[in-house]
Amino acid sequence: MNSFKYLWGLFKAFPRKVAAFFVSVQVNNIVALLFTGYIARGFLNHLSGQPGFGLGAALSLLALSLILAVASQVATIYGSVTVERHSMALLSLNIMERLFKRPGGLPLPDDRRKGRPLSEGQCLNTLSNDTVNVPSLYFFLFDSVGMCLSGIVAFSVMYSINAYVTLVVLVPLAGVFMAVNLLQRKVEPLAEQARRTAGEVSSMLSDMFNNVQTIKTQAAEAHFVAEFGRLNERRLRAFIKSEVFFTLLKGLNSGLAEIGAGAILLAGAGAMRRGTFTIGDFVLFSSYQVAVLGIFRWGGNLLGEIRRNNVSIERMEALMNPEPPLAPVKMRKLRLAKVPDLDLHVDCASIESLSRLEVRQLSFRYPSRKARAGENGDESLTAEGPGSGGEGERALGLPFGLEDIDLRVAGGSLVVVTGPIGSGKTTLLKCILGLLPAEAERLAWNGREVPRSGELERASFWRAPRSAYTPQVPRLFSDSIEGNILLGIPRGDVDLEVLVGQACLEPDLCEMPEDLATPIGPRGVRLSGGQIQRVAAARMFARHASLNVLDDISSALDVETEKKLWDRLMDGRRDRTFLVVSHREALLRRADQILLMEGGRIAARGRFEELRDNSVLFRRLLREGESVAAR
Amino acid sequence: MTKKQFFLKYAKGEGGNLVVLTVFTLLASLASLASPQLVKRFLDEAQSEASFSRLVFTALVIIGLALVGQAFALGQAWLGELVAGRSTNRLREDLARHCLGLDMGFHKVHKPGELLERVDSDVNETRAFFSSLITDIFATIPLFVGVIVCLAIEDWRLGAGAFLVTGVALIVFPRINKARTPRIAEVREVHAQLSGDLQEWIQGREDIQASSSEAVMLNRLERRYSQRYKVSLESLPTFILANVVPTVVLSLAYALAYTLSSGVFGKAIEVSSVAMVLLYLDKLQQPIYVIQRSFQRLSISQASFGRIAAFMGESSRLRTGTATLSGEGGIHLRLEGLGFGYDDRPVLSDISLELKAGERLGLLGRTGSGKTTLTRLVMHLYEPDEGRILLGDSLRFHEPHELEPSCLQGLMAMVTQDVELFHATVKNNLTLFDGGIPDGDVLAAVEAVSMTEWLSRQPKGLDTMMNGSAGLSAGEAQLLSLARVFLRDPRLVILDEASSRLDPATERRMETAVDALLAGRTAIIIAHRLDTVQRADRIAILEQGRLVEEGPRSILSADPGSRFSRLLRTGVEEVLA
Repeated sequence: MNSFKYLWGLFKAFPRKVAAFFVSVQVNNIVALLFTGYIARGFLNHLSGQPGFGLGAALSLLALSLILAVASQVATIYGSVTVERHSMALLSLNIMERLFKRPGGLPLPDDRRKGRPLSEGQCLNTLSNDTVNVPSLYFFLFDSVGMCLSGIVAFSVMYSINAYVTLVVLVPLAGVFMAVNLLQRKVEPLAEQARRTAGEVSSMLSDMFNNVQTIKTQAAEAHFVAEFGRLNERRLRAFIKSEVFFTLLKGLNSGLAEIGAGAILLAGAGAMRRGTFTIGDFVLFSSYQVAVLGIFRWGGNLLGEIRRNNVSIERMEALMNPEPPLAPVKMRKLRLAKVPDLDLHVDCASIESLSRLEVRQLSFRYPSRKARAGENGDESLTAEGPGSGGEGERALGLPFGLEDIDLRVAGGSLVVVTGPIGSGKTTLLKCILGLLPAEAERLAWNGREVPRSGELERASFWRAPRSAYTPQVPRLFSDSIEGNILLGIPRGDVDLEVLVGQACLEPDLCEMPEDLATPIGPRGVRLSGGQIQRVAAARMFARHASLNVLDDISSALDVETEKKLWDRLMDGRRDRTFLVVSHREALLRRADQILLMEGGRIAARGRFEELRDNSVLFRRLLREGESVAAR
Repeated sequence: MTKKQFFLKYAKGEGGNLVVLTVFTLLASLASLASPQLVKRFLDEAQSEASFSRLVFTALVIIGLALVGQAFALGQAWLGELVAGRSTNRLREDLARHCLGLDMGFHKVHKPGELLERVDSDVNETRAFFSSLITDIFATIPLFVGVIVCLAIEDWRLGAGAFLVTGVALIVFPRINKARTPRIAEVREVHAQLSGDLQEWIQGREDIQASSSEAVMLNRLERRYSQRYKVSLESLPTFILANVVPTVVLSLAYALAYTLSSGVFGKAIEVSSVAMVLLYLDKLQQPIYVIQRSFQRLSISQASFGRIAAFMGESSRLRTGTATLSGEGGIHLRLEGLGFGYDDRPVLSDISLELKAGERLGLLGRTGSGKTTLTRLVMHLYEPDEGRILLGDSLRFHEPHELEPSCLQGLMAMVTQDVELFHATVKNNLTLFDGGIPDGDVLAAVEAVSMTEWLSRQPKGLDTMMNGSAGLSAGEAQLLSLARVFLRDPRLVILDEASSRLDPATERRMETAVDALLAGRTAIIIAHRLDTVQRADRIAILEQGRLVEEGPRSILSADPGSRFSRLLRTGVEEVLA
């Protein structure tokens, strides 16, 4: 029933569009199935001297039916596109809005069947395919309704003309027809086998092309091609078997019309002799019987479609977890004809800039996936994370959680988080910013508790101008460099030159063919890791945030550039607070406060000299940093 | 290659089937064409004084003919799928073989997903095209001709009308579809862009949140949908035209039939003949829409043909030769001034060294120093930019590209740190689908890498299906990939950090196996750990693509000034990791 709730939801969103589509499909069906036979009968009756249509009336009716047919075809095509595109946009926008609310540091929601997070590919697949399935059900449903309606009308007309012939012909035909369509279920295993063999071929190809080097270095090319040939042959056999069965069913459906014509003659022979069944009646019967049999056809198609749809709906709802059911069809204002522009205006005056940030007893645990990983060797889980090694979750490349984190950040200060790989530095930043759902006894901005939202929803509190963040591995989008820095902020609101300077981007821009307008991404220039970080830093500075959070921007910057960057930032800083992850000694020396992390806890804190004197771990990190720099 | 050439090349050998197919098509059309004639006879008989049993007989003949026609149509559909399927299967195999045979440079540029798309989806598209061409377009033509002839017999003007209808179908449809092709491409382009954006936004959701740009991005998404909606609307007119034209044309045909049969122009036609004429016109209805759809498919498949042809046009940048090397035991390997770079980035320069038959070389160097690249050059996965590689038996030497590919591949085997396992049975994972290897040999290879105990735990032994490397420990996977080499008889074995993922216990198991494997063979061993290279006769150390030290291990380890002995003192793990 889920499918119908969704259809209803979409109807409420676009009532006029859906209603117009419904009407056009009905008209189209009735005209296509019923008009030709009716006109032919009238005309033939008239020719054989009985009451009917003369040539003029017949031609006029023909013209009318043509106009109706063309109009309803145009309206149906137009309607299907309109309904489909609007529904798709509505569903996708609702899903994406939800994904944007989910704390960005978390993986995508779980695939309920497999109990592990959905992959980005599955998510994309849902957004581009499942969102089409639901509106396309409208067409199947409306078409089925139309076939039933036309069938009922056709049956009534036939019955009123000659009840005897109608029943004698249609009852057995309907029986055969229903039996044939029931047989369609038998096709399912054949189709299943065809799909399976096709899957084998794809999987073989995927194996082959993913492992070209092994195949080449083990001299196995010929063997693989031969095996591929065998699978290919098997797939063809399975495919033909199921295809021919389908053709047989399809053929029986259309072949039944010819058989039916014979049956009408057989049943009507006596009546014809008596003159109670005219040639015109025969022509009408032979055309209307097709319409009546259509009643029995819709069931199979529609049920299959509904089943497919329920799966699509399940997938869409999984992506919106934990929203209630039907969230994907939640109403929203759609203006596909003309979408109004929307900009991001950062109004620094709207908030009180940071004077102190307090965190008490913050803790966080990554959802455990140890048990799940055992049953399925998913790459995303076994992939090497930063500093993986050791037992359990660590072996799966997951960073530590956090425990008992207390900290205070004074407004306008520079706080540097440091520590060995995998000690929870990034996790800490993300937890503070709500990018990961942490628990904390107190998380307060200028003495006021930060409002909490649902566990799987990022608090909107942190939006610019309160905070902005540069991840360790930032992602940019296919757009110009400028577009990536602005990301929605109107050009007039910021001074791009200053931003470029702050992020030390000038030398990079000199190399770019079109300066700030240079497109980047798959179709544009490929940026180096350091360039990406600098663009992301400029993006952050464009937000004029009170709290600026940078995750290890130095990992792709050379020492000189980084020094310049911090010099410029510190120059321009008045009411800006910096919370950054870094290992660079120069920056650690500048810090007002250093937080040294180890195993998900803050192991030590203080200024550079204090830590250098008191912490063995800190001294070891400094030594390692030197040897890295020396390389 | 054009579609026609494709078709002629791959449909070769289907001649017999095509003849039978044609016969079936003709018979099915004949049965279909005869039916209205019989109906007319019945209607005439019903009005004359023919006996009732005569009427029943005619009606039964009509039903029987419909059944026979259906049988032929089914046979035709079956043969059509068979011919189309077998032709495109040949194409698919050719394409797979071709792609697999291309050099690693090609595979670096074209991702597995793309190749899969070409060999799977695009070839499927061509299959759909072939089958539609055979079963829809070719099969409809005799029916069309028959209807025209039958109508012309009744009244030449009706024949002319039907001729016009079918003519429009065959001439106008391809043109409409041609006009649609760029529109379809445009819609696909916008769709691809939308997918690309969605993918980026899903991946970058944290960055979007970090920049407070959620609402802006949703607005952009809505604009993308708006753009897509508008492009779809723009493509509608041709689509509507393609659907409306058959309706209009058929209506005109009916109007013509009504007008002529009413006797307004010339003599009127009998009522039974009018009924027959209308039945013939009904016969055009379905095929006209089917043909319309076929032409649509045709224009869609155009792009697939283009992409396949482009791949077929690629050729391997690796040269191949015809020479062979016979003999047994380890091969003699000599590198002379090798230089190589990916694109413009130099990776190796001026590498010269010599490895006599049966000698083992321990290759050391930091990550990125060019060790793996060097082995790839030796394996002829790439060709060197400078210098040359010589393989032979001290008397006769050949460069890899002078050798016949199968001979060259047979000479060498490589086990790398990246273990690649397939979705196939254990046996096939070891033999790599070489059906000529007896089970006994496979079991021996499993025994050689001490995996017999593991195998005994597999539910179906050698026939157990493996799901890639799922359920295997990294070490077990590595041992299995080593077992593959035992099933072959290469003269040069390259182990590229083959023991990197093993725990000490497993590594000891493997050492015995490796010793057995390397006996009597020339070998290059890349390793992180020093004890792995302890079995090497010679040591080479690479640094930034250059050979900084090379010589017999015993001499190097005895020389306190050598890098190797320094490594021995400090431990490779510290220095090279």
